[in-house]
Amino acid sequence: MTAALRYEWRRLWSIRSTYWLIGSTLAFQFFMSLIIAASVDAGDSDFSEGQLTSSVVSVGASIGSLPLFSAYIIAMLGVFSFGHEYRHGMIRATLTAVPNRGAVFTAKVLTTGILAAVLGIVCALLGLLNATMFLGDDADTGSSFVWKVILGLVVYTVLFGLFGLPVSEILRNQTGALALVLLFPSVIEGALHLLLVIPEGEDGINKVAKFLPFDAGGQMFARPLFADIDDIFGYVPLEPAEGGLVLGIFTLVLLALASTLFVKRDA
Amino acid sequence: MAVIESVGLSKTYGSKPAVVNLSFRVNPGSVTGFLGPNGAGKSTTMRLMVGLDNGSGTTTFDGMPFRRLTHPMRHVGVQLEAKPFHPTRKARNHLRMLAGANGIPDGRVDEVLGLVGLLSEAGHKPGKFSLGMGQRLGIAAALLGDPHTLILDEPANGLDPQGINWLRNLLKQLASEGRSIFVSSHLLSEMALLADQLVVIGRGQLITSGPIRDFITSSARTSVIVRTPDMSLLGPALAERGGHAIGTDDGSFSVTGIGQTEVGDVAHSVGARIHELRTREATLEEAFLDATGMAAEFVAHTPPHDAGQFGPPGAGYSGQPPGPWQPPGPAPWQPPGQDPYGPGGAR
Repeated sequence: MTAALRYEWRRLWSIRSTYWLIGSTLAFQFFMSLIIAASVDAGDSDFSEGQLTSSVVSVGASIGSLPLFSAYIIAMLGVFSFGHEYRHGMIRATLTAVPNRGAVFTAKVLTTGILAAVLGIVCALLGLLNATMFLGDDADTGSSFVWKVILGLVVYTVLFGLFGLPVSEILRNQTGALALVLLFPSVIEGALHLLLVIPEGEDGINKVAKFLPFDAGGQMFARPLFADIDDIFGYVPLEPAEGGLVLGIFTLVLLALASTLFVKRDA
Repeated sequence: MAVIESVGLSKTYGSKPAVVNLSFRVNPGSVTGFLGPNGAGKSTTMRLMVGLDNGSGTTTFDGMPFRRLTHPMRHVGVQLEAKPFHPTRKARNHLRMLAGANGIPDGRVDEVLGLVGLLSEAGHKPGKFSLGMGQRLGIAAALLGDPHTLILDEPANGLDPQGINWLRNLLKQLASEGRSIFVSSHLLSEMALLADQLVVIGRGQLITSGPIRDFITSSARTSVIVRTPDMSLLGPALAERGGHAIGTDDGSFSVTGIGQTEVGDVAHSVGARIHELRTREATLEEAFLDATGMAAEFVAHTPPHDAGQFGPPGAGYSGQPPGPWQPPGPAPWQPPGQDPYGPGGAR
């Protein structure tokens, strides 16, 4: 296991994509949260306690205005973890250096997960920094609401990052995996949501649509500011922990499938 | 020093068998050449040996399967493809990554880069490397752990003549140090210079294995050249002993089926005058073509009208056997000029 971790660690830090993905995640987070913090009206009564700060920290994702872009960038790290192996035939070099496939797979999960967690935390801290600088006393950094949202953001980011990994292993095609990982939470789930909600109404959303993994996982940090169309259909969202569990199980099932295939298939 | 022992290697892709119950042994202190026509299953065999492909059978290195080796690169160096690296990961970093996983000190990285002549490229991205430079980086990776065994798939591909010469000397030197070298190549003339032992496969099955010398001397194309004015005496006598004489262009005869000493004895017993008597050994290429002729996966057929244009039979190797080779058959001897496959004859 040590050998696999050491290999993965050096693999990660010896390609440019790692640096530009991390750099762009942090730069995006810093400047976007800065712009939002500098432009919001702290006196807006629509925001309840902590909501303003968490929307700065999440760059609008917590109030349902925008997707969590930083998680999308971090998910690419997960895709590249296996994608590079297959795209450049590195997998055979990897497995002759570390023949224990279980260890190789676990090392990738650990490095991707830990890196995503660290980045998620740093992103949250950058957001808090901007919130504190621009919102002054209105930045409720001590509010448990804010910290719950931050916890949700970090867990969601880790699970999203890990989602990229099995997809690229299963497909063994980096471009296809990248497209699927970026489109699934946004376009594909969105389309499924509409397909299920419009004809089926309340049943569609409460029995199926709210269990779509990224819809569900989003509940970990989403505290919508305004009622949306789902409310008309009697939408009862999952609790944050339930939503996290749904996304967690979804990711785990994919990881289990990918690890089985990784061990069974020819390299 | 490791013995490679492969037993019952088999692999099927769908319903198509790629490797069928293949067993062989590679001994330390030798370069063992791995030969087979395109699609014979050489690369699949090598992948099976190191556990990259899942099939049946076992391969052990001093009794240990590859997947169970701790720090495998310190035991078995493997190069299975021409460019097994990320195009933008610098050469030195690529090797450091492999070294890190195998408990090999980083200092060894520059050592092997120097050994393969790539030290000046250590800080460069291999995406722009030529095929030959890529091969050298692959060989550097294989040598990184100073392993007792090397498995190399077509390592000479893309190397220039100097590079091939360098590789040959390197592998021979490594073998002389008691290591086991298992190397595939389609460059038969190169293999003839490099290998001591051979494993020859066709359609995934073992055709032969053993010393390269035995393989060549046992080839049907190793023949005895006889020059005699008394073939009318000698021909039938040779045929009685299982010999098969065919006239060649320069008036001599090529005898297969019996050895030089026996031909001399037969000539003496029938009172035939002998002006020349020598053994012409088959080349490795001829022996290989003979051995694998029936086992080639992809056989190309030469258009009949092209067949004679390379020169008369016997005038040197032209992609066809020298002289009108025929399988041993009922007509053991044909005087020159009457050979239906001779120059000007129908093909």
